[in-house]
Amino acid sequence: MSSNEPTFDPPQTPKVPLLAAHADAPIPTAFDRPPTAAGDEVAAPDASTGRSSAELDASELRYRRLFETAQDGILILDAETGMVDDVNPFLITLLGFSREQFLGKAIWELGFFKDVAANAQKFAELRDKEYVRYEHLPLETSDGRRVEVEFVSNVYLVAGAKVIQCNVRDISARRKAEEALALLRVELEARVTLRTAELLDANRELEAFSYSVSHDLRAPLRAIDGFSQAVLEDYGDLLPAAGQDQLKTIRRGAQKMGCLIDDLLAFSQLSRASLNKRAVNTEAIVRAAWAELEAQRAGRIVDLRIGALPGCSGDPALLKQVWLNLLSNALKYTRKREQAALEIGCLKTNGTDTFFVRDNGTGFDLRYADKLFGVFQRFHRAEDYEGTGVGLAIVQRIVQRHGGRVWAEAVVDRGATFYFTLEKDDCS
Amino acid sequence: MKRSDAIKLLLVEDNPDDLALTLRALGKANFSSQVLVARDGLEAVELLFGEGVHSGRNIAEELKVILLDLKLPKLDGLEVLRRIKGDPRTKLIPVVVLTSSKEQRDIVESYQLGVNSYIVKPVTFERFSETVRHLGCYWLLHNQPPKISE
Repeated sequence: MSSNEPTFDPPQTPKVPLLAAHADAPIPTAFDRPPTAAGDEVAAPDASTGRSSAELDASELRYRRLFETAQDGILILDAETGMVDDVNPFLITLLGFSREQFLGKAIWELGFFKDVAANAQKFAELRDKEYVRYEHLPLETSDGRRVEVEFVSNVYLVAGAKVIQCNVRDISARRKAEEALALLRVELEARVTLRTAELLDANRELEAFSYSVSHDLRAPLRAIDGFSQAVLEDYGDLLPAAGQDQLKTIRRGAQKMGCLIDDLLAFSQLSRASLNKRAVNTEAIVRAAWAELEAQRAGRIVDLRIGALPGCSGDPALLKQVWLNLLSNALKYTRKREQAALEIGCLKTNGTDTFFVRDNGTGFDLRYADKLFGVFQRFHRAEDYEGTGVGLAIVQRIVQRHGGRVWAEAVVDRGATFYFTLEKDDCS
Repeated sequence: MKRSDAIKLLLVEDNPDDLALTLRALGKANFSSQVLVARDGLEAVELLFGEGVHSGRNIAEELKVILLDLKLPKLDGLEVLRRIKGDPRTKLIPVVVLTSSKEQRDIVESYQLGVNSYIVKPVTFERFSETVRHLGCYWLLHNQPPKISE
């Protein structure tokens, strides 16, 4: 229900109590037109106005047309007797009674306005109120159909005589739509509840799964690695060099799988961990991440430039992980450069901060960019660059959980730039 | 394990492979003779409180540390930890959880129950051996435990 529509509360009428027991909360519509105060006489067409008879005819025609074509029912009553003076075609069609059945009858004889004026006495009350409004009034048509209407009556003077104008708006369709909407809302809520339960179930299963992986999958690997080493230690002398190499290969495999399990668990934990958003000093976490990578850049010449970095809102621990992974990647793929050049900065595009990490490393072929952020996706041979292929998947997961996105630009052998936002931008 | 009064370390471990590797690492650091092994949670509790088949035995007073796995048959590690830390006879004995799990809920619950240290077993054997050796040196040689008197 829109609250933008203007309401026209009657200026002089005190808050009119709604008479109908089934009236809903008031719905402000243009229908709430202020009543013409009974004292304000609507001038009867009269020679004293100085208008010509032709002008009066034209005016009469205009208002007659308005009355005839109105898409609201209009009933004009004699305020003294309660007799129907006029009824417009819309109301005739709506209720299915002929014009003759209306005319000359008192409103309480019509039958369908029992709730408004059941008898002459009630009618007197209606008249004395001068403005009456029902949000929601059920009426029965000639063929027994139920229609729901909004009913407003105003009293005014015409040529010295009090007239009551009743406006009757068919709101059946609106009520039906409202009911359908309410039903849909209930259904939607039920569906949300169901989905939430399913999601919680899936999350619990995922948790149980990674719990089991965490406990049970490492032990056999430890046995494979440990006993291979035990054989090398205890019986190494008995083994030819090729046999020793094969045991070492077994150990590498076990250790690699240990790393994969660790990374996979770290990745799945990201989906479950709650996001603790707060104001983050970007520069501070970038410097902290850089400091943590000291071992990785030991003995290398790395030219790092840090541009202006605005603060942001996010989970500090997770955002630090993003910077760690991007910087670690940049260091890894510039390893073969004599002088690595890294640039960190922030661009403002359409009001959105876009952070970036640029390197002059080995780059990659942009044709495969869609695979870049997939779990266990690797662009380089294991013997060239180590890794499990989870780092960028983690970056993407964290950035997405913050509502942002991550993308990359690169040229083979010329370097790569990774960009990310932490809020919705135009391209997301 | 020559004499029970020399027992300084209780190792609670059900996985035979992990047990062999842990004992191997402890042996290399010359701690073998001070180690007693419980193969499940129930056995650990019975040993500690002198119950069941171990009635009459009293090792709690001599222990300098308990190395406790979490995933154990019969009584799981967290339950064993709860009983140790909930009993005046054993609550002062340092307990080190030595497990495969890095799950936060295991770590948090262990500390809530009063664990003294939480160590994740490394997959790589060298690191595993070194970790176990460090644990032995730290808890058996360097750390000063309180005297438990009844």
